[in-house]
Amino acid sequence: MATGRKGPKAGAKAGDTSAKRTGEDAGGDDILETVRGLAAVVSEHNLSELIIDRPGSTITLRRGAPAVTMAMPAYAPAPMPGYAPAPAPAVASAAAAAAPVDDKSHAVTSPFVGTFYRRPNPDAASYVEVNQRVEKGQVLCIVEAMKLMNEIEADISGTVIAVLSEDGSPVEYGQPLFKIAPG
Amino acid sequence: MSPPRWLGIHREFRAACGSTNDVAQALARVGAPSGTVVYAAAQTAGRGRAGRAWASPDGAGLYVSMIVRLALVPRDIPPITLAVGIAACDVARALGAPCVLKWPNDLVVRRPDGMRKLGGILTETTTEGGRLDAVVIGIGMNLGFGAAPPAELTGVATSIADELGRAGQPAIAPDREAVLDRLCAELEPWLERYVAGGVPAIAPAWTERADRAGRVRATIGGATVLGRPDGLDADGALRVIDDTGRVHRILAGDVVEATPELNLVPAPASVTVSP
Repeated sequence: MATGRKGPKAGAKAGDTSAKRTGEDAGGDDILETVRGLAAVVSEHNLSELIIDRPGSTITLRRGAPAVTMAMPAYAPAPMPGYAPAPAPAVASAAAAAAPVDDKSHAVTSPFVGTFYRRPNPDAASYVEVNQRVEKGQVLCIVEAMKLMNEIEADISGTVIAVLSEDGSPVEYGQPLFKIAPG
Repeated sequence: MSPPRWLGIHREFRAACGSTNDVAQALARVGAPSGTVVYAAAQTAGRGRAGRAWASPDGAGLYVSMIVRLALVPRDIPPITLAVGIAACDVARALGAPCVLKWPNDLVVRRPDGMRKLGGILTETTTEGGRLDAVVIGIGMNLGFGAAPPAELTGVATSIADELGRAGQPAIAPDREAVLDRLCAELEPWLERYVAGGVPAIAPAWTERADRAGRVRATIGGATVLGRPDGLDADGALRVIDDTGRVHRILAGDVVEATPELNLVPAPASVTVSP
């Protein structure tokens, strides 16, 4: 069963489809070919998300989001909490699949579905910028839902190496918002 | 209505402060017990959403922030705003104002020419790596602006006293402490119901008090939906039915009353506002 979702999603850009997979072995070249084909479908029909749900495997392609995940429930480990997908645009490729976790950076994720704000108010400067050093407990952003303003603090000290969402854009539960290089 | 067991037992009053939410957050950080309430006669920097100002003239309203520590994961915090709305709406009605709720956090009175804002709720919290500390629930309710209401609120806001006056009763602002007592007593059981039963435990009560007369325009991430509000979904999302009958779910972003000019803005064919 495949479901596609079409519509405006902040941050979605043409050619911004990236691919990653989780799991021990997602099936080799056949799967890669499948993902390539699906990526073409996503691009051709301008879908923001495509989910292929079959017995034993689920493939999710999401455009504009930092990653495309493939989960193989039969033998895939639970998603790693520190899993930090690369923000760089990349169509499914052997290189991307071979190195699902290619750095030691730490992802700060959204606690719920909401709106991401990088600034305390529209006239203020951003809480943090890329390359800025942050300390554990320092406020990185606000995620808002139902007028609940949730300040998200860094849970480690380090350097912000990526801001993965745009100010004012919608974010999903568990979506990575920042990458922090510990240290 | 029985008196609260924990909410509002500890109270701190400030003649004036920047924002009661800021005072409460500071108290929460140094371990103030759950149920601690901070209220002020005036706020010099009262806040609405996204840093917008909340006018808080001296003596005109109840400006209160409540520190609560609840057995909830961060994901389940946002609908607290809805539980607070139910309680605050009931307090306003008991005081004589025909209050209704506008998703997610406004207390309003409907007039033929549009809504007047009676109060609002701004809930704030902090999480670190999925760990939740205290939740600070800020509530502002206009009790009475006196002889000289602030010009910027004319045609926008109303107060309990104004509503009493319109109903042919003496337009007298109720006593702040008495309103706070009642608010704590009303809110405590709704918070407990929400913690025990989630959104399904509060959604019917919220929907029953919600304004349905108007049209709304919901905006999130640049996408727009125009339609009429239709109560809550199971997770607290606002259901909005557009002119084609399609139901949209709004979980975040702005919801404003649609004016005739806004009605000219067509809703896009497809809008993804939440999964």
